[in-house]
Amino acid sequence: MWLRRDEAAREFAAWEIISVTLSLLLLIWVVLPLSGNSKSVGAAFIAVCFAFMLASHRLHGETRREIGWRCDNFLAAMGWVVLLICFFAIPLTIGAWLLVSGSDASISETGKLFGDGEIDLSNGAQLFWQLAMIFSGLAQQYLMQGFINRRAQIVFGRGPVSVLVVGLIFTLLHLPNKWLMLAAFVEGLGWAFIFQRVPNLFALAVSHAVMTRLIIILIPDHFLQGLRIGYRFFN
Amino acid sequence: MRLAHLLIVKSLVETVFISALAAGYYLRITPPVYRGWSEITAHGIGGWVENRARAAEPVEVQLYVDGKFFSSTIATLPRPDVLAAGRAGDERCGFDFDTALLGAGAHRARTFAVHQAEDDAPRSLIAFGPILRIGVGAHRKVNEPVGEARD
Repeated sequence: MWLRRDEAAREFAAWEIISVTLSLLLLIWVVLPLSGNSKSVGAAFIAVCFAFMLASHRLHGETRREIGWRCDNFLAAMGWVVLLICFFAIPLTIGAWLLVSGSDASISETGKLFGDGEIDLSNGAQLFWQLAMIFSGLAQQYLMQGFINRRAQIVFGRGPVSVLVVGLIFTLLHLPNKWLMLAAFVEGLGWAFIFQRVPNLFALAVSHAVMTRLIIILIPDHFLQGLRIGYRFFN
Repeated sequence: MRLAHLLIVKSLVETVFISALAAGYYLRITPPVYRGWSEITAHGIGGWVENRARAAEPVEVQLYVDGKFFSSTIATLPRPDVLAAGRAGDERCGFDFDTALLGAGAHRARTFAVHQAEDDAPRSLIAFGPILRIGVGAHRKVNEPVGEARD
């Protein structure tokens, strides 16, 4: 059966979204657990996915500017990002206050990253982890916005449906950590919305790091479960 | 069409990657290096077992009766007959379980070698020897295994 050119493009874009999403789910649920959470094995697996995405960009004739690797609109994107952070921080603070008031924890107990004693943020590790969060955020934003959001726009067009699809996929990737899923859904919608208006991955990476830090600071660790997702959540 | 090829290649590479990872994990958790035998003896259940990859290291053996853990021991009893027959690389590979505490009735018992690749790796049980069927009479104070069968 022959499809019209735009129908074929939509269908291929949908398969690209499914393929990359499945790769990420396999990484989280299968590859990392089977390899004993080996970072090198995980990196080798996800490298295949990144190679595919780079080749796909070439085949689609996408430029770096279109994907969001640019600086000219950084300030404009940061304006939206600041709005998103404010929009996110207010309900998060209220939610955290409600959570803490209903439990034994206090907000001052929650300033540690990834659980008690695993990582000490009180010394020079602060800067390292902040940079790591920005770098990790950049990779995640490239995956979610530079690739999945752009393909979702081919399938569903620019607007609320493609934004919702990106938000839902980002939420799916945070299974089964329900509090993180809730935060990921709100963040995912916000970032997808901003990217469709001002495509800049660097600004989104900064907001990713800031919002992750806000979550860590405000929400008690026993709700966040050390930000663990996938199979690792149950360990 | 080239995009379809890319998708197919990506899927194939990932399939091979995960298959190799799963096979590697299976071999790591249940390596085919344990050789042994178990049988019903006058006092209970005995036998021998060795890890062919590390013949000098004694193997931990667990006995399960009716699917439940019954007892555990380290296979260090001398078995010169097994060594003489060329079945094991070290004669200190024997074990013996006393089944006197078994209740009356018919039971199914099986022996397992305990494997752990590294200190922080999960422990796994690797079955060896036949499934042993033990009948214990109600009138006996000390249970005596009366038969065996291999499934």
